[in-house]
Amino acid sequence: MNNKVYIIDHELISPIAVGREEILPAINKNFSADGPLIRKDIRGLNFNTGAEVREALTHFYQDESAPVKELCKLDRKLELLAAAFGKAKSNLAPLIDQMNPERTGVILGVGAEELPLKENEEQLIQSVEKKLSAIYELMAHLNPLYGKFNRIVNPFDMYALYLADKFNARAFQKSVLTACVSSTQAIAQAYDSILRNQAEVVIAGGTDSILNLVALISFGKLGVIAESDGNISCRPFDNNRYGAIAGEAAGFVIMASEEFVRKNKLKPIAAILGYGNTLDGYKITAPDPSAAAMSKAIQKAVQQSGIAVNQYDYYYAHGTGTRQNDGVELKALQNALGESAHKIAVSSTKDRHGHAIAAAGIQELSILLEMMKGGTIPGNLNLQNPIDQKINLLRENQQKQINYALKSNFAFGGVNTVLAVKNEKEWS
Amino acid sequence: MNIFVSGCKQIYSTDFSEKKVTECKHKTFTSASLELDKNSPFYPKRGDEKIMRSDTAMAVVAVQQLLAEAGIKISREETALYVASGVFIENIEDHLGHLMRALEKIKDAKTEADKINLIFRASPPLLALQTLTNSTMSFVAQYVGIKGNNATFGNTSLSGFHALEAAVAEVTYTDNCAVVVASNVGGEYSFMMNSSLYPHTEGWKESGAVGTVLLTKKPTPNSLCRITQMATSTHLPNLHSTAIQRNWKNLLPDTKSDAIIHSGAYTEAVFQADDSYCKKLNKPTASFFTANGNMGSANVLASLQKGIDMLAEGRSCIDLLDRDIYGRESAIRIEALK
Repeated sequence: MNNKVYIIDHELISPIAVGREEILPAINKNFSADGPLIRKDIRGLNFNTGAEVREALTHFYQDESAPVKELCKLDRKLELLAAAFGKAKSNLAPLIDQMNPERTGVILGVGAEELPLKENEEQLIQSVEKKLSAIYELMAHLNPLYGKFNRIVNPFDMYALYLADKFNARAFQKSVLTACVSSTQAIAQAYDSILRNQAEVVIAGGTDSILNLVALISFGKLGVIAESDGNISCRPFDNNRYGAIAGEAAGFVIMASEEFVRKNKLKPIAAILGYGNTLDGYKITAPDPSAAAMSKAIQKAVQQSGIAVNQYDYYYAHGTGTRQNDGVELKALQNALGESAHKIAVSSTKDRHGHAIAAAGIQELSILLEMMKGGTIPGNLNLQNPIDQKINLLRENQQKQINYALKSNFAFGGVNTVLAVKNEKEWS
Repeated sequence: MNIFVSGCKQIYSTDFSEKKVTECKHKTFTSASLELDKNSPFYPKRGDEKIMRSDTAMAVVAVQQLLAEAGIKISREETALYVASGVFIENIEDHLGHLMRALEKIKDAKTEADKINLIFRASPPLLALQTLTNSTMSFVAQYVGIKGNNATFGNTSLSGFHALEAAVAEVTYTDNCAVVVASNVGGEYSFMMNSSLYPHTEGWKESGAVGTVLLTKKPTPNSLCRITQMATSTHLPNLHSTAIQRNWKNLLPDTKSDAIIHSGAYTEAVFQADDSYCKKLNKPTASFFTANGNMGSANVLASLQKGIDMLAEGRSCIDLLDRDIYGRESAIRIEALK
């Protein structure tokens, strides 16, 4: 049975790259977006940096309808997504013409809603003083914006519907809400949908931003956001790691069946060969220290790919830089790959672009695609004292072709999703 | 398609009351929340309960009951779990009350940093976990030990269809069983989010609910029905209009079914119009709207339960129709066991 689903295009808006063409230069020059936030004032929190898309994005969606443009000012997830589409739009037009709308779907991973508390501080205070339910008064006052757009708090499906409208994707529009693996699962679901002939093309990806007050407070209270250590805050796989950088991103890959690729004489960038997707069933607050389900997710991805473990060149880690994730992840890798875990190159790039939660998977897959094109494996930027000496944790970028890679993401609540990806540079 | 529903457990809300949410627009609606069955042997531990919404807590209870009564032994390592979730804030007072009260004090703060620090200190430590979008899935996995393929879909009623569809595919293409959970909290937050996207709010009714289903490839002694067709509309909704369109008949493969169960209405007027539309298809109709209102992400599984009850009364084939807040329509056909 053919187990390949092809990636024929992608786009990314990330703190390190506004557009896919900026990814490789950013990786090669070891650019890190970790720094003071310019869109939000977070003085007063116990961390003072984040990985933010600092470039203005409005020009990417200037042709949008007035309600969408208005909503983009209030909803960062929509703004990032609209910018990703707007950035890619001119290149995508011929491809969209080739798609059959009724055989094209959208699956998007989406993060939690953003409540604009600081932006509406005065009104909220007035409601609180009157002993009214301040959030509901605010919703009643501001909503709706127009038609099926609220100014604040929309159903999560709005984002997939927005993208479906752009691609005229009518087969389905699904929203995956599985926290840090949302967009990784969206890609896995797209893979299944195409292999099972539910669609011939699926636009899969995600959008999220945790650079808002409620999210920063929530993650800050959990102790997973790193406090700055001089110039460095995030150190994945280092003994002196203190947490992740809060981030944001949006992006998508266009995935297609082999038949669609050949019929339209397209050249794929890469292929998804399979995935593993498991649950810890352990505790909502921490990964299972035995790493059993994480390990199984890695093994399943390798098994489904049909590629021998020793042929994989790169394990692109979730690597958040938190105390809890990184040790368990390396244990899972060791358990899953055995001796091969000591040879395969391992790194995380969250020290460069932060943790985009629901968009982590799409951000990192998009980066992987460009690294496959450019023949670069990124090093762990801030690694000084590795937590495991046996694992091949890269400290510097390597110029080496990636033929096969594993991309892992793990979520709060113990959800483990790993993709097996093949470079299709030699496609014929 | 021929997948067996081999277990089905639903929990509905019963304490309906009319609520007024805001002074601003004097909006009122009717809703009910799930009653917590703290006497159940399956009720979650206290430490976990404090970071669960009511639908999450009762989903944990319902799935344990479902599997205890399934009458078959399943490999929980490989069983898949697909979840449809509604809104993730049940009670704004529980989740953000401390934060709101902090707002009262920030007027006295001297600097912006002091203000933010006050808000930070006033926020509950587990806020992220209380509103975690995959909280129902992770807690169910924790309590029943399911570890297989999974995803949480959300958060309109179509997510119930997507969760069921993913589970049907899993059972079709693998040897695994699949559990589907749909959990929804009705109430103020859900009303305030959805009602502004609707043509009107008079007669609005919604409620919290939990639906759970066990799917198997082969019939078991406890199998209840077969799922034989699933379809969604390929009409993209118009995001610039709140008008409701009805095209359900285009989703029905033929006229074979004995009855239609419909859901999706949030108001009495829309429910009546939906019912008239379905009756014009020359079928007896049923809906849980009058009793339960709209149950959001749990709509589809609630209709499935109602359909199973109607099959038990002697019907042989039933179509379950739903429409989400964006106007996307779905149809599921269930048939009696042969």
